Amino acid sequence: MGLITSAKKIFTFFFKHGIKSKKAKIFFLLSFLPVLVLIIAKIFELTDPGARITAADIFSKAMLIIYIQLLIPILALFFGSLVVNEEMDNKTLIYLTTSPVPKPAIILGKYAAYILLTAIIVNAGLLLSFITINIDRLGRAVYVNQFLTFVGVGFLALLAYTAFFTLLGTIFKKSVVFGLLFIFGWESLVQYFPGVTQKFTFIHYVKSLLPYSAENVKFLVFKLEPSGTAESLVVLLLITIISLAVGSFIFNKREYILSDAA
Amino acid sequence: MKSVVKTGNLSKWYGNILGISDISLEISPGITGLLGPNGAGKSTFLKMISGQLKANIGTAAIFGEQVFSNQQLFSRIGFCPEYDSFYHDNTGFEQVAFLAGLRGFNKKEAAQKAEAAIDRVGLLGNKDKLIREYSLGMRQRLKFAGSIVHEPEVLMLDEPLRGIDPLWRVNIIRIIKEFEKAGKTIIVASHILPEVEAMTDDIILIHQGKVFAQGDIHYIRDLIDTHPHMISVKCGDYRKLAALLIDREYILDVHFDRESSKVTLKTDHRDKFFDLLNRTIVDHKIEVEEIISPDDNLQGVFDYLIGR
Repeated sequence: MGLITSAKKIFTFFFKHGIKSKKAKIFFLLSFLPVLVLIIAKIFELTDPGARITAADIFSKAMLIIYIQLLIPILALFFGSLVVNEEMDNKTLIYLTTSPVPKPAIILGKYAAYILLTAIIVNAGLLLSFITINIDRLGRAVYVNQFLTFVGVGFLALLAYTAFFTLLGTIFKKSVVFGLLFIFGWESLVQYFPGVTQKFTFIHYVKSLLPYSAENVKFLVFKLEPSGTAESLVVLLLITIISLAVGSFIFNKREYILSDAA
Repeated sequence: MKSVVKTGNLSKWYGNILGISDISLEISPGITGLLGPNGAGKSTFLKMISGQLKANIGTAAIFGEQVFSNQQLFSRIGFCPEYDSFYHDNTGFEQVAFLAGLRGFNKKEAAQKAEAAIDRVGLLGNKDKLIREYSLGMRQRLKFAGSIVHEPEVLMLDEPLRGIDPLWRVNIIRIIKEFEKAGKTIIVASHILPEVEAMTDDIILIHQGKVFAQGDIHYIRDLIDTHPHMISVKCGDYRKLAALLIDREYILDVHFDRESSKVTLKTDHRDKFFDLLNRTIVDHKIEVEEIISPDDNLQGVFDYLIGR
């Protein structure tokens, strides 16, 4: 079978498999928690027109950081790591590696399935948040551009992070640990370093694509010395492509030994 | 007969641990039993000739082609792993249809093939159940269905009868023999002698990663007939079952394990014991969850043989 046909079959199976999984359900619930906060804020806002903090304020100032800095990297980490690690844990890797399909198709098909799944999880929450803040003024909604920008930037962030964590999964058995260190260690810290150092993080390029000059996201782009839009786009896409290419290469060459092999 | 599987000085280590060492053999069409105690290297050998593991030294070829990473060859091979290997959130049908799809069948063909394979192992009525709801025996049959769904030319089965009830053991053995009649090559790994014996006379004995002997099963069969064997039966009525068996003189010892609802019996006449056990289970409609020979069983046999 060819690469595309094989990847398509793997994509279809794992998208259905993923959406039914407990992990996906938990993440759906997590992504709806911020919506719950917004609903409560909106109720207060509607019942007290003089409220000092509106749901829209919370959306623009707090929700976005939850999605960009927390939910997207964590989702990418868990689903990216799953591409290889769940096959090792379930001992199902044998079915994939002894099938007449090109091994890169396994990586690409599963990666695409989990990208679609995580994009649905993130955007469902984001869309509900957006609807909640505009429920009383759908005809003249606020933060439309910001919402659309975040959907686009969020998707790019998902592409890059998930590809990188897929790569880690092809190398390390416990790639989640390395991924957590990367997100909460390296990324959290180095993004605030001055000069070019912060360019060694993914989040730098993600944030550079945000409307960083806007007043309401100033807190989010604290200490950011932004790169240009084109540069950020290219870097994020390169991270995605290189991670997937190297991951596929390693997966193709490496011998994966299941724990009971001896 | 022309050999289908051929290995030359095949060796594998996991770090410092020996998997198999210097195995050179040829396997022709028909059923070949790979017999040895747990940890002997049977699974490693199967994984190497099915292309899952790379040899440290030596070669493994099927139909004259090297196996490792030979994706084209994999459509001609079926492999049933020993351990649970499932996408538990899927139905039995979804998993088997997916495996058929990976062998190149389109969606419609894969569905037909999966349904036929599932029917063959008696799971058609449960095909839309989630795998996590399957019993051990059902899961084992499902794995077997996955390995035969594409009618492979070479079928490799690692402990295929583990956890399967006596009635379905007979059926699975029948299916394996149907493959043999069709001129295919079947390699069955097991640590339970009667299982292999029910399928074939042609065996390879593996012990400590090396081929200990190869040939006709009868030559060791006679040697070990008097060697005591342990058989554990797990079922709700394990005490009733023990009571029905205990008066036979070839039952030497009975041990109850209340926590896991299991009775372990020691016998010096395996054939008579299994005949009696099967009859008792059927006659008294006892629902058996699992019949196993404890892990040290065949190890004991090998120790016995080596010591002679």
